[in-house]
Amino acid sequence: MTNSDKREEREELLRVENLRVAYDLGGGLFSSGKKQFNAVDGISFTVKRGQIAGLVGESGSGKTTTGRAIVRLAPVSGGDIFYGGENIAKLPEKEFMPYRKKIQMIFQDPFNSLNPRMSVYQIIAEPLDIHFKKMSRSEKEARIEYLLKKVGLEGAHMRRYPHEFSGGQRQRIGIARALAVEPEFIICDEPVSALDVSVQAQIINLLEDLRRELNLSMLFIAHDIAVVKYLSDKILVMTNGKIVEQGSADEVCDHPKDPYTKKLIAAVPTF
Amino acid sequence: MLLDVENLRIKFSTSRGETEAVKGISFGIGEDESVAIVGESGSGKTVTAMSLTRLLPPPPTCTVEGKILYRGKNIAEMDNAELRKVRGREIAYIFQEPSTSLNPVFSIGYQIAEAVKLHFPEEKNVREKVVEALAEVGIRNPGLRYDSYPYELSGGMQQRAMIAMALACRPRLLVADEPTTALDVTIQKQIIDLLKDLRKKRGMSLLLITHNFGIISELCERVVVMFRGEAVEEGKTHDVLYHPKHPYTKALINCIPRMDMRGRKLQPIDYDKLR
Repeated sequence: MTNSDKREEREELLRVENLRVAYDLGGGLFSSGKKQFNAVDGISFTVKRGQIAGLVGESGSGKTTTGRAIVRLAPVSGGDIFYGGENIAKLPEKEFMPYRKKIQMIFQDPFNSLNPRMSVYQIIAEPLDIHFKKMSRSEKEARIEYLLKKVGLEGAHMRRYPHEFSGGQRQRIGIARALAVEPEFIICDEPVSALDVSVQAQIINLLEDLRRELNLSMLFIAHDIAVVKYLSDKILVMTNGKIVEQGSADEVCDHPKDPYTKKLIAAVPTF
Repeated sequence: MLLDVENLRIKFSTSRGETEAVKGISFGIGEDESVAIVGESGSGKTVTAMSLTRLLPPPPTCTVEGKILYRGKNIAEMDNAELRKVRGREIAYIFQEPSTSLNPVFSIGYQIAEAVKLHFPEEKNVREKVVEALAEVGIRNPGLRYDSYPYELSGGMQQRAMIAMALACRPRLLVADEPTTALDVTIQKQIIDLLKDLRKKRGMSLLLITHNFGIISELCERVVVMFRGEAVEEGKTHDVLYHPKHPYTKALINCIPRMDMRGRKLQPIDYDKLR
């Protein structure tokens, strides 16, 4: 594909080096020395501007923790995260703030990731209130209407509450919320695994369209390697906190080198 | 035919009126045959499975019409005593989410023993039978695992325990409702292989409820495609997967990303066209 060749030339947006996320396994009061569990155990990868990197692995592999560590939803115990050249892993919280705008997240479960007591307007306005403090109410409404249309919903939907929407529609609301602050980089944590197959296809197409239109970069975290292959330019395979293989999507899927990748691909039932 | 379903209709009455979840479907399952019902959520596949042993709420909440013949006897007309001999004993179930199907406060051995005691009251070596069942589904150290609680087992192991419970009474038909949807792919493969293996050993029939065509092609000989409460297509697995006739079946197959379709745009189902 010439498209992805062009992308190869593009600047590097995210560089993760030797990232480690460790949790204390709190030994008893009298136990000697603390034990630690490395959920993410020294991984390195890069994502270029406009590129989708698929992070695939099974539950417990550390893929979600990796995504969360980048936006500080999980504690970084070691290693560096460079975003646009700056090391954001050790920035004080105040200086990290602008990156919270640049990097947004979309979560797995559209039923639990939207506050049921907030209207769609409130849900999408919340990040605007934080990152665009000067925006007037009418500007906000216009922006929210624009966002809702962008993700395939209607402006009138902003007065409604999450329970009035289907799973696919809720995921669209989650995407609109993520897009509200004009991010450059989106971390999608299993955005389609809770959805029906036809809705899954709609959301995948939407993400693909948005990527192209807004030149977004994405870290697409999923357990379904077929979905990851479909959407991603490059694939990272993770197990036990480590990346065991990475390369272009075709390379990894068609000529896997690592035994775990081979096992993972062989386990997918196909017809 | 082991099981013959004729013109099954399932209606639910809700505060907002009546809704027909299953609109007159017919299908059969032969001895030692494995059949899949495939469809999206809301297509009626799970309620169809549950109606087979009258697991749905009684009228007026839910009314079931049509015939469900198990070895020639209509399940709808059975009294409770007769039904209990079929439910769990002849037709057993495994469900999607093993962690919510198992009771958290009893050991898995205890829960499997319950099923055995109910259907074989004269059985003396219940524990032995349970341990055997655990061993058969590939749980290591079954004697030890008997006393394990669900939370001590991984998702895959919990599903094995559920299968052991379903199979402990040697049913003729196993109804598996999305048995691997909550599991990782490598664990899913183990469970598929286990089901294949058990079917071969026992000559048991299988009704598999799923939305995953890959699993169907591995496990089932025939497929029923359900859409909005209707069976829109039925046939041999190979024919349905490779030469689908109904536009819905085609649409459903086309909207799933597969390993070999990079670069092609996914086609979400256009429901308006199907009306």
